Amino acid sequence: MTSQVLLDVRSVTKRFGGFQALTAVSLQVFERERFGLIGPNGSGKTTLINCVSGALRNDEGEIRFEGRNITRLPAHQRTRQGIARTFQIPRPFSSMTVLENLCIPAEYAAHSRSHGADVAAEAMEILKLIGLDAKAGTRAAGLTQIEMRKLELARALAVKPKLLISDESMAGLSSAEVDEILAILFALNERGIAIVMIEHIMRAVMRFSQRIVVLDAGERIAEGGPEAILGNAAVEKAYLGE
Amino acid sequence: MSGRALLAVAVALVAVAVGLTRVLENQYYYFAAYVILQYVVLATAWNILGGYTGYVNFGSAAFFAMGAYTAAVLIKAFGAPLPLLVVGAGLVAGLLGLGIGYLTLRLRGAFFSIATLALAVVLQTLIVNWRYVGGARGIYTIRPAQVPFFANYVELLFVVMVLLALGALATAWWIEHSWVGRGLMAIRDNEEAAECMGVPTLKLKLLATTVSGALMGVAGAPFPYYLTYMEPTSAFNLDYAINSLAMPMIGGTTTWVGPLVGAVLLGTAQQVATVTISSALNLLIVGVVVVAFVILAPEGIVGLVRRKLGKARA
Amino acid sequence: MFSFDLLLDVVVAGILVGGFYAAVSLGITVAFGLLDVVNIAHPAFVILGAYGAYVANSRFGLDPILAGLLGMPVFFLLGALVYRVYYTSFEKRGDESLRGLVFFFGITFIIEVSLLLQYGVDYRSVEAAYVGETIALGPIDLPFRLAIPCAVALALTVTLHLFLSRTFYGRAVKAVSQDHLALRLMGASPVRIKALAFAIAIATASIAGALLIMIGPVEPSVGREYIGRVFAIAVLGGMGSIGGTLAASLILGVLESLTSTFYGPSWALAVSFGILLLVLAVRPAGLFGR
Repeated sequence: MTSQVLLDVRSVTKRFGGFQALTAVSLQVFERERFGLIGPNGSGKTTLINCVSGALRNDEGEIRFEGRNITRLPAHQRTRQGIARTFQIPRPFSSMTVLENLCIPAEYAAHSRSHGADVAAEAMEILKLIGLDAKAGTRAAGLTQIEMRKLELARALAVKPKLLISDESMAGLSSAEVDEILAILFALNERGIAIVMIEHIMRAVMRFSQRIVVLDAGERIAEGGPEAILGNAAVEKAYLGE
Repeated sequence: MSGRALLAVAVALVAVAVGLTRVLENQYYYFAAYVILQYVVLATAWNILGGYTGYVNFGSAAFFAMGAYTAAVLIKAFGAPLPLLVVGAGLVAGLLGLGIGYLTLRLRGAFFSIATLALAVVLQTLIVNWRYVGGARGIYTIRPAQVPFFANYVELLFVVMVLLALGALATAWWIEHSWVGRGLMAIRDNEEAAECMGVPTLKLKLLATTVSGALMGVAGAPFPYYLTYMEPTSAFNLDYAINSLAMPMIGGTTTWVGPLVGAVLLGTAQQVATVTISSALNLLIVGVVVVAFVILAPEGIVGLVRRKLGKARA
Repeated sequence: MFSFDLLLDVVVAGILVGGFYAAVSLGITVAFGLLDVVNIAHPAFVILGAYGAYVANSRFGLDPILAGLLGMPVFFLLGALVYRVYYTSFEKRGDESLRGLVFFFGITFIIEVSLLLQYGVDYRSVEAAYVGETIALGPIDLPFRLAIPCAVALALTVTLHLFLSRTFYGRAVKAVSQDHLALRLMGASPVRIKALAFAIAIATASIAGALLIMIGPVEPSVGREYIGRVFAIAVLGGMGSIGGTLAASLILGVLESLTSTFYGPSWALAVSFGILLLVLAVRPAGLFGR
């Protein structure tokens, strides 16, 4: 059974004033795939993710999801179509509890409004899966670093996504914590969600990804399986310099 | 408190208000109560956009005055009845809110706030130059001679304002407990995240601005009848600008109770104070109190009470 | 009757007043453009400066410009204090948007009403020997009342520009909006640099106020007109660009002058509001912005 293309990024270019952050970047993510996106700092990974999620509008190129052109769609509609993302620096709804944080995407993205009881129950399910159910009633502002990262993933899951983009969810975590997050991501992928992982922690990316694309200075410089990327001279040069 | 219990309380309050008009003869109380109730509406309206959504409106006076002048025009041109004034005022002020929102809400919240500041100044200029409503010289409105059921028109206006205040509170209560309110609060807490979680942020913000503006206009609808002589400085009064944000900030911005508490406390204090101190000094004190609250007690009185209760339970 | 002379006078007056607007807007360019602090109270500080000049002039016979200059250290300290409170209460807590705005609005209010209580609603003005005169440069009439504030404003603009581009602290101010880490590596504390910048911004209000009261009489609520103006200028000029601020001020000055003469003075306020909305809608980066 061949997988369908889920996300199709076609020649996307993004400029900020005089600075070109992305130049004609193309890539494809298949259904249920585990996809890694890496590159040195400033290479444009987060910019690309922002263009895909709708936080930014790309200047040139097209973005297609499940065959549909979503380039002109506002972010909240892309979310409803099944694209979820986490933020590098967690952005919880700080005045709400953990459970309420999940109810927002559950209510707005996964369903079209209300059914209060159903939404809360679903949210609890997700919290159990992620391992945050004990903190359901805690205000989001009072969580630890790793709990916030888990909350980001939980919220993204509440969207009922087909594609989940994890933007450096492991940055700054201890080795054991990295493994925790990795386990969660594997579990989510088991459930049929395609996952794009943006990370600097190489062992996580290599273990997790089936395919990897490497960006450098806004351009795609390599693509392939983990082994191929590891041995790629261009990639090495990008990370280590001349 | 459940919705039904609150509804019962509301009906009881209306009955009490009507009952009062049968017994209480001193007109001063009706005038004072009218002003306080007006602030309940204004503070509640402000809070829907300010407290729930996180967007600060500095131009409450503009929306209030638009409502008042719309009513004045409707009275002058058509001799329109009170219910129509309320609807008309709400519509026009609501459209104003929608317009300003549409122009500025795609940008940072700060630009929306600056635009509302500028709006008040510009609108006042427009009104001052509009001869149909008397421009700077003002407009006279004669209260109807025949007053059904009540002893005089001011008592009628008082009860009308009670109804409007309850309506505003009901609107805020409904929003707060509905999916709309949850979406607005997500926007307030983190707009970018809300948008990525499926919340249609622009649409909800426009909704909040429109409802908030409309309610402020509604508060102004009976104003021409209340004052009988209205001119731009009284409609665009400094009081409205500072009070409609001071009352929710002092009372508490996270629930519908906060603006009510703030309006009643601050409004009553001001009514008492105007007899003893000058209105300018009164405003100065309000300004200082707002700054103090925003620095020291950002959650307002409701927040402080909650914390005390929380500690008592623990 | 359309007259070229009239048009010329109107445009010249607009340029001169526009130059003055730059003095008022510099504070916003620094506070809002560079530090991202939405200080809507800045015009109120300008009015405070105007009244300071008034008192110095009426009580002690001081030249208003001198009064404005002497007031700068006081305003500098005031600005540093205000920033401290703002920073500890809001910026650190990450709460800036709603509460920070309310804070500054409260300050505006307090300043305006305090002045009202102290001086009432009467218009106040200053007396200086040269204010009433006019100099003629060919076909152009330059009233000193406008020309001198414009000249001082230009001097202030140039000074600020030099400070920001030539001195260590000035460059630190420019850097602080972009890169805290680099600043730390330079050996400067970001918070102190920001406080310095904000204090400078408020200090400019002292001079701007003195110039304001030279141009025309003031009363406490005059500040409100300027809120729309300064933010329109800040946005049009591209947020944080001194040159942009000057250009935008001149443009606004001329447009207002034309509107005021041909459509009536009360419509002049609508000009800044209109420009603000237009720029935000069409090109939020402004004319010179990044």
